[in-house]
Amino acid sequence: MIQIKNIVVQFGERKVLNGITKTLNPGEIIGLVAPNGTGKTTLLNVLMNYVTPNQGEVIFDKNLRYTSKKNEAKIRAQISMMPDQSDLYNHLSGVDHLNIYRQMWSQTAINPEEVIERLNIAHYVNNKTYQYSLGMRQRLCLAMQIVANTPYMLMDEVMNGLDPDNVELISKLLEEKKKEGKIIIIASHLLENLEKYADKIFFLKNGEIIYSRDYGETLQQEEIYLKFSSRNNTRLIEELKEIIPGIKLKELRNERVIMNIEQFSTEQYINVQEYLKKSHVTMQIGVLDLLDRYSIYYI
Amino acid sequence: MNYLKWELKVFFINQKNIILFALLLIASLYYCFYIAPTYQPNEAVNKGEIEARYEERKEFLETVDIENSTHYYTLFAIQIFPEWNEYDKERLDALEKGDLHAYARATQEWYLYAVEMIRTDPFDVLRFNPRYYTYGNRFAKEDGHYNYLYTAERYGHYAIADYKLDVNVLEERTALQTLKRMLESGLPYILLLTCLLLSNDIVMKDRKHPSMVNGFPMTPFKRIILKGIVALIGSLVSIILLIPAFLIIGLRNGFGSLDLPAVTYNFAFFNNETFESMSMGMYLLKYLAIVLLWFMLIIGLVLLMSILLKNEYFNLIIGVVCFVEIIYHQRGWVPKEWLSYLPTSYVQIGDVLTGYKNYTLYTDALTPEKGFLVLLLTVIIVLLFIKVVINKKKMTI
Repeated sequence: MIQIKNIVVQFGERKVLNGITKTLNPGEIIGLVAPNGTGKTTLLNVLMNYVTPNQGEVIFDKNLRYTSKKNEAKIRAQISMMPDQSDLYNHLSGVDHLNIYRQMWSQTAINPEEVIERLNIAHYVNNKTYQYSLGMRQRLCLAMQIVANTPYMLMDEVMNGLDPDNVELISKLLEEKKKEGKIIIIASHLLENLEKYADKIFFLKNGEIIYSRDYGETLQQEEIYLKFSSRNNTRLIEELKEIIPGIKLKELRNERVIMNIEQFSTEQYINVQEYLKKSHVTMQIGVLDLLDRYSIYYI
Repeated sequence: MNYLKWELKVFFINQKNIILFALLLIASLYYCFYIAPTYQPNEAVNKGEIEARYEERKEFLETVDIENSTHYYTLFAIQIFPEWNEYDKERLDALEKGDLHAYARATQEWYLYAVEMIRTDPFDVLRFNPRYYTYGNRFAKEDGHYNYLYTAERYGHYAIADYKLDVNVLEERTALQTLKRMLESGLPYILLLTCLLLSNDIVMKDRKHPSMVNGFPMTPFKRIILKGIVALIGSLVSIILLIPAFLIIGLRNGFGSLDLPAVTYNFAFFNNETFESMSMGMYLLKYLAIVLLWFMLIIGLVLLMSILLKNEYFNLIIGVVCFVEIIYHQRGWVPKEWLSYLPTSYVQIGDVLTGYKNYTLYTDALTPEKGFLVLLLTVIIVLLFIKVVINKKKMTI
């Protein structure tokens, strides 16, 4: 378990994190969502103790805190952060990298061979890393962390540079790790996949968690929207305004138009649907998804 | 242990380190092929020279007429040459017979007699070997005095040696003696600067890989100490790289024996100085101990500077400690005793071990034991500083 208690990080006048409090439980994948430069990496750095918070503390396993260098070493035997692909040693092979992670986390590590096979990196892992493409480096970085196999795993933009096949492969692997009881925190601004495998999603803005979603809990009563997206959004919006004067709708930056269905009478609701059908526009009815919320909060 | 292996791997694939090792190897081979063979000892086994001197003095003694008006220089020569020539005769006979032990005994006597005669020369007409009187050498007489007594002590040991004697041993051309000569000239500077260059990026190189290495589960102090050990092993490898040159010289001139004498000078006023010897093996052991302390000190300073200043180029300033002694230890000036408590006073390790440093500075303050303690204490202080700084600072590199 990780308890994040009232974390405040301030660089000069700017508060990057402003009182973050959360409890993360074993067997959870947590998605930390925000555009670049909004504090998600800082939060990961606080969890690793690379950044000391101005206020607050992080507690691991009920009572382990970053209070001394010895404790720091103990905690770091339990937590790992996925290395950045630009930090690899160019004149060493992928196997060398996997081996050092296996050796450094010898208490928890798993056999690199298993991971090499699982992540389909056998065809290049013996080459020196300067020969790797971005995607190959990214998979190696993930493989290193998987080899370390720590109970707590932090990943920053794990899916960057990966093709859809590999995104799928890694998503499955992460789910397996989750089932093993690990806490996996993924900071990302790529939302499509996060929603598939994350148990909790936190949106960070102005140093605070402005929206959180727990997929394990039954949905609270959320507002239902009618959503559509078309090349002719502007024309459709104008015409909808003519059909139903006073209609409240919003075009998001992801080019999706949303309308709260609460505002419609049954007749209006049918009219809107009829009109959109006639215009050959695909509609969706449901709650706002992550992409919608991202567009609302950040763009 | 795992981290140590990893650091060693990274250390030995570091291009800068590979280049340094290659340069050191090339330089040592160049030395053994081109420089070492040109070595000409001042006190060589030169039968022709001995013979010429012997014959000249013999002829002088046989033909000289002593009259009332005979110049006092001539009288002085008549007084001192007979015994001197006896030693030269013994040396020539021994060389003729190929009995190098006898040659060594006679040579020891020759040098002791020569020093005594030159020291007590009332007219200041006697000179040491002219090779000491080179252009610009203000200390020719002191050099001659030291080297004559040094040679006498050395030859005294050869006289009773139970190892094989040959001209290469007598002229200090064997591999071990060449190594000793190097250790008493520029080699310590080369080794210490190599150590500095090898270790200067041992901490800062991690800045290129922060997300990989900063999260390793170990205390920063342990990590720093292991880095220091890697730099120390790397520096010792730089010594190992001298082995090919050592072997080549050994195959050419013989390796010498670890029982060969390494002469040491003990300072005392009023010509009460003494010369003694330790074995070459002991000399090399003591040298290695002090070199190790120097390596630890330089590496310790690199680690400390890296944590404090976080710039590998600033670390190169540490090289100053190798040369700062030049400012305050100048031949002919008697240094203040407190200077002997500075670690920088012991950079010329070979000269401290042999006592030559004390001879040139007219002091008895610089002893190997004091040097060892001063360096050891400095290393401990630097390590304590590192510990304190690491505990105070956040150790993300």
